[in-house]
Amino acid sequence: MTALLELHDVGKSVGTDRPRTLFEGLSLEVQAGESVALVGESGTGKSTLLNLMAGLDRVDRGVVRLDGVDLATLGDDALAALRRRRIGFVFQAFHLLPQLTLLQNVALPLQLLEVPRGEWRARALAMLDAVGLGARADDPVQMLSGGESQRVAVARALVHRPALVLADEPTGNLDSDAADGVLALLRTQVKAQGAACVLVTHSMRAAGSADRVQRLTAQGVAPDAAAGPAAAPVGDAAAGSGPV
Amino acid sequence: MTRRGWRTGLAPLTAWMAGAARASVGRTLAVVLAIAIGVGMGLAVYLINRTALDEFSGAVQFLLGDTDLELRGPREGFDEAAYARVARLPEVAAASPVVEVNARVEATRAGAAVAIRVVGIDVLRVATLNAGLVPEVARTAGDGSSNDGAGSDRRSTSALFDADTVFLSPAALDWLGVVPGDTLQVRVGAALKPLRIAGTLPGAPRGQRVAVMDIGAAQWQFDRLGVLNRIDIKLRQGTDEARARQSLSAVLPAGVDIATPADAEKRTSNLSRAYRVNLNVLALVALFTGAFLVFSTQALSIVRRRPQIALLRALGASRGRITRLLLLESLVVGTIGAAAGVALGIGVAAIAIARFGADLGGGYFPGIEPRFVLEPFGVALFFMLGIAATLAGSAAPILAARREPIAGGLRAFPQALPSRRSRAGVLPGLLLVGLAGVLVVLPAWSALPLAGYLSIALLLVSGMLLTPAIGRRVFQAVEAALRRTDAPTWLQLAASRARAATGMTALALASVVASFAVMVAMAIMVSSFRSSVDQWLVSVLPADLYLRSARDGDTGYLSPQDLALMGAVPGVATVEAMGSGSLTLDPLRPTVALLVRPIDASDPGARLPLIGRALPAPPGRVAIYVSEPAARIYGLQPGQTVTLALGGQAVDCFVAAVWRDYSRQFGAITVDTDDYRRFVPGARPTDAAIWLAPGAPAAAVTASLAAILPGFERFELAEPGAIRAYSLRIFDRSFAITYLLEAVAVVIGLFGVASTFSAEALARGREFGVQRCLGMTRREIALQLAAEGALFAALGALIGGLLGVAISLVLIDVINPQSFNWTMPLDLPAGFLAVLAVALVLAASVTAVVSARGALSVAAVRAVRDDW
Amino acid sequence: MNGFAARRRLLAALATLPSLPAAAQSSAVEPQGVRPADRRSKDGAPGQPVYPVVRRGVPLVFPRDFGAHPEYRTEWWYATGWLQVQGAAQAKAPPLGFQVTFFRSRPQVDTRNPSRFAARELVLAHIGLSDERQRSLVHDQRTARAGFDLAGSSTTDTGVWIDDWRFSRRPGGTGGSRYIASIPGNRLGFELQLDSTQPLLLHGEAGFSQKGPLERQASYYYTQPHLAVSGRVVRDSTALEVTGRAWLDHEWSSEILADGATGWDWIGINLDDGGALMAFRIRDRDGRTVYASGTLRTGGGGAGAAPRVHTFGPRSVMFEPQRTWRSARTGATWPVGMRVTVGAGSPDALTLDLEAMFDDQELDARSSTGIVYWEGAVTARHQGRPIGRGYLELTGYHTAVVL
Repeated sequence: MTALLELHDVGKSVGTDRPRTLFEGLSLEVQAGESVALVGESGTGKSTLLNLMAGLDRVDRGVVRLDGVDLATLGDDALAALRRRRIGFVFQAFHLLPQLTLLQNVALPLQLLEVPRGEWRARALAMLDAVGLGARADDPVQMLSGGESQRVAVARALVHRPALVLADEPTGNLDSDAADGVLALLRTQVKAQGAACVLVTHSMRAAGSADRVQRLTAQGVAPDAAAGPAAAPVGDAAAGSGPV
Repeated sequence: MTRRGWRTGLAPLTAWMAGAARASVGRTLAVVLAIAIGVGMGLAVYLINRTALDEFSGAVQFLLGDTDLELRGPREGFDEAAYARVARLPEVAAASPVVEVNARVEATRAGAAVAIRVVGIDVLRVATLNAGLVPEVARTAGDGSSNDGAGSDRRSTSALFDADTVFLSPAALDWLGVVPGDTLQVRVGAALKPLRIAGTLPGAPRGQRVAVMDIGAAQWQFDRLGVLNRIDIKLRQGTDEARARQSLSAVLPAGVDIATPADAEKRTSNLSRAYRVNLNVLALVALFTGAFLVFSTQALSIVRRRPQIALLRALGASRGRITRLLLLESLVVGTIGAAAGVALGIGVAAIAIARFGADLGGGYFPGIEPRFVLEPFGVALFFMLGIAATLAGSAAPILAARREPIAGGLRAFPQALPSRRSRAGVLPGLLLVGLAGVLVVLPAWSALPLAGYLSIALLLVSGMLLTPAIGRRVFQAVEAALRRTDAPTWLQLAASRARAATGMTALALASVVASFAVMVAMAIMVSSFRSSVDQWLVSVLPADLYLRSARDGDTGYLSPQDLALMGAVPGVATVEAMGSGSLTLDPLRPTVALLVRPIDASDPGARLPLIGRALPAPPGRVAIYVSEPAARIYGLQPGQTVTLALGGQAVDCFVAAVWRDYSRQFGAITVDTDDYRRFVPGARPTDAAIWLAPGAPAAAVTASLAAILPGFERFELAEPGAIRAYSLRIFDRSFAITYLLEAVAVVIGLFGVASTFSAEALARGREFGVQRCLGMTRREIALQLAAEGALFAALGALIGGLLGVAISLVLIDVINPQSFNWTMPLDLPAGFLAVLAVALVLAASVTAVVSARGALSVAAVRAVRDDW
Repeated sequence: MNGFAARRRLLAALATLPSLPAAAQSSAVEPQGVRPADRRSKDGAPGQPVYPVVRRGVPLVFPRDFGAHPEYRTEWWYATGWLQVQGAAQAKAPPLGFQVTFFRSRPQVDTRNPSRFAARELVLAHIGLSDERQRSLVHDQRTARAGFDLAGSSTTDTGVWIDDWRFSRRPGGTGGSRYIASIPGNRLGFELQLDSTQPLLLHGEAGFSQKGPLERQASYYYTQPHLAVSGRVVRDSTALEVTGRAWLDHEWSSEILADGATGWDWIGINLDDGGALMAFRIRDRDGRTVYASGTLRTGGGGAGAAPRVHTFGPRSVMFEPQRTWRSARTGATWPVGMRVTVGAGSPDALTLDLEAMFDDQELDARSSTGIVYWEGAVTARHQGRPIGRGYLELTGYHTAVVL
C-alpha cells in the first residue's frame, strides 16, 4: 500500500549567501491514520520539514509525495487546493483570524471547499462541540484564552476531515495543563477521524502522545530511543514501510 | 536631562527613529508632500493677495495723495459747476478736480489693445494735494531746451496744458512698450485720437499703470465736457469733518458721495474680498488635509512600532524620552515639509502673478502691473503653520503611544486592536451635524459666509467622526448578508475584515470620505453654476447680433449716427442701444452698474431673466429692475421705492422686478432708456442689440454693417452663440484651478488608503500565511484585498457622496448667495458623480492590491513561523 | 521791472520744474478784441494761440489799461515797498520790506478746446516779507488756471485773484488810485491799502518799453511810484499794523528776453525827494549787458519845480557790483552792493549805491519753482547819504534763467 506521505532522499538548505544544509538524504513515510512525532534540537529544521510536507516550501533535492503525488509537479494553485482538501494545520501561535468568530474560523476550511452553507455550519458547530466550545460559537476569538484558542485551531484543522494534520509546536504557547488538554484533544480527534498526524515538538511529553517518535538530526531522521514504545526505526535509504 | 544624557541616551534611539523613517520612506515623503502642498497653497494665495492688495492700496494712496476727502461721482460723471461751489466753501483749503476715464489704447507695441486709467487733472491744483501726480515734461531731442531767452522753444512747458499730450507712469510706459515722444492711439467713440506722450510721472510708485493729462484736455478729448468724476479736497486745518461733510452735501449734486481715503481703500479691498476669502479657505483646506495625513501616517507608524516602543520602554526608556523622540521625528518631518512648502508657495505665487496677474485673471485689480513681493512675515507665518499642522497631527497618536501600557505593546498581535473608538465619534459627530445645520441658517458675518464655511468644516469633521460607526454598521450588514449566501470565501473574508477594520483603516476611510465629499460638492456646485449660467446666457442674449463699441475701457461709444446707420441696414429689423453707468448706493461698497436699455414696462421679461413677476410702477415713479446681487446686497424688494441719483438728481424709483445676474457681483440696476434720458439727455450707448428681419442672413447683415459703419473694424460684433461659448469657456477656465485642487485632495485621500493598506498588509502577513496554509491561493488573497479596498472605497463614496451633496447644498444655498449674492438651482450631475464613485472604487481596489503586493509575495512559510 | 524777474522766475520755474506746476508762457484763448494786425502766429496751425505784438505808439488808455490784457503772453502787477510797524512798542522796530506780485500768463494751448478747464490763462502770485531784525525773507506763492471764478483777472480795471488772494484797484480821491492787496494767511499774510500820491509814470515811449535789441522785444510798462501804504501784515499768526511807501509796476508783453540773455538786474526806487527811479539791464552769459534802460522822474527838490521825466537808453544805464555776498545755501555769489548810474555824462546823471537791508535775501526756490534769485529791500545812497528806498532784483547768478 502506498504511504499517505512519503519523503524520499530529501535535502534542504536555507540561506542564499552561505547556504546551511538543514538535512540531507532524509526519507520518511507516514501511513494513513498514523501519528508521528518529530523531535529534535532547535535549528534542525523541524518546521521546515513540516512546510515541505504541506507544499508551502519546496525541496532542494529528493521527492515529497502526498497521496502518491509528487508535490514538485504541482503549481501554486494546485498545492493550495491540495492543502484545502487533505491537510489541516495547528500552529504554535494559533493563528486564528481575529476578525472572525469561533464558528467562522472553524468553518473557514469548509467554506474554502465550497461546502454549502447549511452543511458547513452544522459541521463546524459539531466540530466546536467536539472541542468543547460549541456554546461560544459566535464569540469573537479575541476573547479566548490560549488553550481555548488552540482548541479552536484544532477544530479548524480537522473540520474538513483532512488526511493529514500538521501540528507545529501546538503546545509551545500553553501552560502545562492547557497543553495536556490540547494534546489529548488533538490525539482523540485525529484518531476519531482516522487522520494521520505529524507533530513537531521539542517536548517529550507531547511526543509521547504519538504512535511513533522520530528524532531529526542533520543526518536524517531516526527512531528516538527515549521515545515511547511505539517508536519504530526508519531506514535512511529505505523507502519501505514502517509498521505502525 | 543633561547634555550628556541627551547624547548618550538619545543617540541610539535617534538612530532607531531614523531607521523607522527609512523603513517607511514612502509614507514620510507623503507627509512631507502633504504639508508642502498645504503650506505652499496657503502661502501662494497669501502672497498673491498681499501683492494685489499692496499694489491696490498703493494705487489708492498714489491717486489720492494727501486728500482728506474724496468727492466721488458716478462713472459717467457729475456737473463740473459743483467744483466752484466746493472750492469756495470755507472749510475747504484746497480742491482738485479730476476727470477719470478708462481709455482703450489701440495698436500698442505690446500688441493687443488694452485699457489704461487716464486721470485728467488740473496740475496747478493737484500739486498741493498730490505732488505724485505732477508730470515731468520729457526733454525729447526735438524739444531742445535752450536758455537763451524769449525765442526758445516753449513746447516742453506748454505740454503740461496741451490738448493732445499725455504723461505715463513708468509702469505704463513699460506695459505699453512706448517712450516719451511716441503717440498713443486712444479710442473715443468709434474714432481713434492720437495723444502725444510728452513725459512721465516720476512720482508714480512702481507698478502703477496710470496716464495723466490736463483736465481740460481730457474733457475735450474724451467727450467729457462739463463733467467731473471726482473732486479731491483738503480741509482747512482744524475743520470738523462732520461739519465739512454737511456743508459739502449741501453743494453737491445727488449721486456724489463723500469718502475718506480710508473708505476708498476699504471699497477697493471689498472688491476682491469674497474672492480672497474663498481662496484662503481653499488654502486652509489644503493645510487641513495635510495635517490629517500627518495624523493618519503618524498614527500608523506609531502603531506599527508599538512592539518596538514597548520594548524600548521595557529596556528602560522613559515615557518622556519616547514622547520627545516622536515629537522630534514629527518636527523634522514638519520642518522639511514646511520648507518645501515655502519654496513651492513662493514659486507658485511668482509664476501665477507673472502669468495671470495678482487677481489670477479675476479682473479685480486693473491698472496694476503685478509685481511679486516676497513678504517675510507671510513666509514665516506659513512655515510655522506647516510645522504646527504637523505637530498637531502628531499630537494625538503620540499621546496615545504615551498612554500605552508596556505589556500591551508586547502582545503577539499588536496590530489586531479592536476598533474600540468606532463608537466614540458618534455622539460628537451627530452634535456637529446638528451644529452645522444651525450654522447654515445664520446670516453672513460682515458680508462673508463664515458660518457657511464653518458648517462645511463641521460637516466634514462629523462625516469623518461618524464614518467608523457607519462603516461598522454597513459592513456588519454586508458581512451578514454575505454569510447567508454562498459567496466566495475571499469575499466573505473581505467583508469580515472590513467590518472589523482597525482604527487606522477607519482613518484612511475618513480621509477618503473627506476628499470625496469635497470633490462631489465642488462638482455639484460647479455643475449647478454652469447650467445656471448657460440658461442665463440664453435669456440675456435674446437678439440676433450684438455690437460692442469697445471691449475694454469706457471711452468707446456709439453715436446717434452710428445707430441710425445700423437701423438702416437692409435685413436689420430693430436696433436697441444699450449703455451703462454706475451708481453708488453705499460709499463703502463697490459701485453698482447702471444698465440703460429699452425695457417694455409691460413685458420686462422679454429682455431680462426675471425672478418672479414684475410689478407695474405707479405713476410718477421710474421703474427699475434690480439684479439679484444688488437686491440681496441692498435689501431691495419688488414694490419698494428707492431714491437713486440719476444725472445729478435724486429720483424716486420703483423696484419693479428682480432679475438673475451672474456677471456683476456687486449688483446692477436696469432702467429703461427713455426714462434715463429724461434725466441724462446726453447719455451715450456703448452697445447695440440687433434683431434681424425674418430670413435675413446674419453674414450678409454683418457685411453691410461693415461697409456702412465708420470705424466698424474697431467694433466687436458677435452672435449670441459665440458670446455664450466664449463666456462658458471663461467660466470653465476660471474653475480649472478648482478641479486641480479637487484632484489633489482625492490623490491625498488615495495616498492615505495606500499607506494604510501597505502598513496593514505588512502587519497582516501572518494572517495571509495562515490563509494560504488553509488552502487559499494568492489570487484569492489578492481578490480579498481588492474587495476590501473596494468595500472601503464604496463606503467612502457613499458617505462622501452624501456628505458632498450636503456640502454642495451649503455651497449653493449659503456660500454662493452670501459671497456673491446670486442664487442658482441645484443641478446634480448624476452620471459624472457615478463615474467618479466607480473610479474611486476601482482606484482603491488597485491601490489596496498594489500596496499589499509586498506582503503577498512573502512566502507563507515565513509568515506563519516568525513567532520563534 | 521788478515784475519782470519775479515773473520770469515763476514762469521759468514752471517751465523747468517737475514738481510745481510748470506752466509758462503760452495760452490759448480766442484772442477777442485784438486787431488782426497785432496778431503774430508762429506757424498759423489751427488752434495755435496768436499773441499780439507790443507796438510803439499805441497809447495806453486808463482805466482800461489798469486791467488785464489776456491775449498777451504775460502780464504782471508787482508791488514792492518798505513798511514801518506802528504802535508804541514798535516805535524802534526796524523797517520791513514787502512784495506782492500777481502774474498772468497765456499758455500755448489749443484755442479750440471748449472745456471750461482749458488753460487759457494761468494766474500766479508771489508774496514775500523781508524782516531786518530776523534777517530772513519769508515768502509764499500760488498758481492756478483762470476759471470758475476761482482765479482770474479783470479786463476793466486792476483785479487779479487766486482763491482768496486778490489784488485790485478802485478809483481813489482826486483821480488817483487805491489798490487793495488782500492776501489772507497765517504764516504770512497782507491786508494792505495802497493809495497813489503821484501820477502814473510811463516808461519808455509813453509806456512802450524796449526790452532788447529788437523792436519786438518790448512791453507796455507803467509804474505807480510812491504809493502810501497802510494796513496789516500777518507774520506767524501775529498781525502788525503797518504804514509805508510802495512801488507798483504793471507790465504786459508777448516777447521779452533777447536771445542769449541769462539774467537781469533791476531796481525800483522811491526817492526821498518824491522822485522815482527804475532801471534794468539784461546780461548775457558772460555778464555783459545785452540791453539796458531806465526812467527817472525827478522829485522837484522841494522848490516846487515841476517833476521832469528822463528816459535812459542802453548806453546811459550802468550796473556796477561793489560788494558781493556768497550764499552758503546755494553757493551763488550775489552783487548785493550795487552802484547804479543813469544818464552818465548828462546833466541829469544820477549815481546810486544800493545797500541791502541784509545780505541774505536770497530766495532758494529750487525745491518748488526750481530757480534761485535774490529779491531784496535796499536803501539807495548818493555819496553816502541815503536818498531813497526800494527793491533790487538779481537773477541768473546761480544758474541761467531758462524760459
